[in-house]
Amino acid sequence: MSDPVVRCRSISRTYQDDSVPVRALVNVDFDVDRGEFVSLAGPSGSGKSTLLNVIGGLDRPDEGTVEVDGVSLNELSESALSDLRLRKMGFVFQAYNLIPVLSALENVEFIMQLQGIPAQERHERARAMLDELGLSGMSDRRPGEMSGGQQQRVAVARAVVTHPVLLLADEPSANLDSRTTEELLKLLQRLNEDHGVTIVTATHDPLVMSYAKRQVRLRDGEIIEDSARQAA
Amino acid sequence: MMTAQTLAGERATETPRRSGGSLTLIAWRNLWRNRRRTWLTSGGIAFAVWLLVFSMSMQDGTFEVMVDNGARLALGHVQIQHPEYQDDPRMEYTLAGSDVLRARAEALPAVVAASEQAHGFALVSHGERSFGAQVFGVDPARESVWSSLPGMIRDGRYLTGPGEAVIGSVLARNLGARVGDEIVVLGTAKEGGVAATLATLVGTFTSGQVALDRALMQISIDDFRQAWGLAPDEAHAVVILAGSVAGSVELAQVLSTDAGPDTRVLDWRDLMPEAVQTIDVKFIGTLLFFALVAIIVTFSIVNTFMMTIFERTPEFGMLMAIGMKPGKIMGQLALEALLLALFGVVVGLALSAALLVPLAAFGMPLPAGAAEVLSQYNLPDRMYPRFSNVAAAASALIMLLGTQIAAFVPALRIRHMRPVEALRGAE
Repeated sequence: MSDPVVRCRSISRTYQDDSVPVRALVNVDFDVDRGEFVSLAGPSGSGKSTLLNVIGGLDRPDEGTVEVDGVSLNELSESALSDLRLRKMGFVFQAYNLIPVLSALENVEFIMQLQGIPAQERHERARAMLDELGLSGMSDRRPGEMSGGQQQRVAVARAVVTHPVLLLADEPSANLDSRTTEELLKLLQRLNEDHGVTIVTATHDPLVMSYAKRQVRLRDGEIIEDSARQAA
Repeated sequence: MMTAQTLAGERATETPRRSGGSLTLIAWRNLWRNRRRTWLTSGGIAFAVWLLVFSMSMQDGTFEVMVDNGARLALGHVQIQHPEYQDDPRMEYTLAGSDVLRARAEALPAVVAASEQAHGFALVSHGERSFGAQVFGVDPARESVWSSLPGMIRDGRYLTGPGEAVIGSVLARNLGARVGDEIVVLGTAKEGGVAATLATLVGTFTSGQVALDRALMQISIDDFRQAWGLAPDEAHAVVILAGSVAGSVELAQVLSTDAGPDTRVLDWRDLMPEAVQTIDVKFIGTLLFFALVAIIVTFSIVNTFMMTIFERTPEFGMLMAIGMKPGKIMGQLALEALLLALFGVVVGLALSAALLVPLAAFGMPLPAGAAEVLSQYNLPDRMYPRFSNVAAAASALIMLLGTQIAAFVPALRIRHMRPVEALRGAE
């Protein structure tokens, strides 16, 4: 029996680009079950990042409904969306997007601070998470003092330390070399397989797609291929 | 492998707790992301604080000298009078037992000196010339202790006892009188008769105040009492010099509970309404100056924060994406503004204190020409600023408020940011 963490129905999203309407998503139906590792692939402008942003509540669809962990995003205020993201989602960005004035440890602690977790607990959890991701020697370093791969691992640590129901990664390997990308993907795979973290990633990197259990391809705002449907 | 604690733990508590300590640390570090800009902005705040505190302290010091000079010239810092005398200076509104009141005042530790004075208007004549004058009956010995008038004698000497008079240099010129000449004084006595006395001119003074130089005459209070028909223990005022202008107000309050029911105690503000008016007018000017500086600094800080928000838009997008609410991000910026202002204010106050404390102690020398002119009028040849606590507090408050406003206005953009666009830096 399916247990969808994400449930999108008839999602459409149109942008205005220099007053020219661009249809980023067209009537998309898309579900993600708990524990899945899904890659959204497609060329630039295919709508994969838009779909990721809509699922993450960073963008709102013009039409259609989105549910995450049983909560309808359409009806939530911006403030409630913030809360939902804080409690249920983790984000990994292409440009790492760590807070530059904080050390690796503080960056991981910060999101727990937003959640109101006591200082001692968040410190212990952040340190343990960095240790688990092989960053124990980096905890006092600031982003500017780390390599791209190390920063992205810190970003992953920040994203999963709060035990989100859904991890969203937008082009997580775009700024990484192939070796570092492979390390990152093994890490994501481990999180998915060993701990059941549901992962949706937007990518155009074949290596990333190869690690995902399910590949979804988009073109011109529509899903043109879904390995789950093919399997069914 | 990941441990149970790292990923299999319980969900975060739903009740947010205070997290101010770390947010303050982040705010402080954020300030120093662009050191040059922070130094420039906080330097502007520090300069504004210094400018406001220094100018107000100089002004306060000037006012204090002005009031103190007025007090030392003739009026004193505090006077005890008949309850009606200040508003209606009639001859009959005298203090009975003025010698006792003076002695009690002299016994107070805050009193530097005290003396009795009697005041009247008279026609003073020399030869064929007569002019109206205000005649002060004074105790020469006691007056010499605190009054600056003896130091302003340009020709002859100050009073030493009965039968002598000193007059302003302009009055002397008008009368054609010289030291050694006899001056006839005719007025109306307390009971309505003629008050008449004859005094030898022993000195003329130049105070620099035309009204005094043209119309003031001082004679012995014993001569005054005899001529105007006052009793030996009767006077119009007990004039008191305090240790400082600031301390005189408190002294006046002490004296008013001590002086008795048929008296009125006046402090310098009652005695010198023109000085109070001048200070009030200057204060309005100071407020305008404060406002102008605040506006200039605020605008410069608005620019700083606009740049900050422009540069950090993707970061704000990331913060919103991970669940930080726009209001909290704005709060973070407000905290950065607060720390920036506090830093500038502390530096500004430290600079002000470093400059003003020695200047208040040793004085600021005036240009040679100005010092020479002032010394002729028995005025100090140095400026003594008085560190203005009011200016320090007001400038700090203005800078803190101005910085908050300056940060708030551009930070309003954050309320309308959409995370997805902010992440791209497109807001």
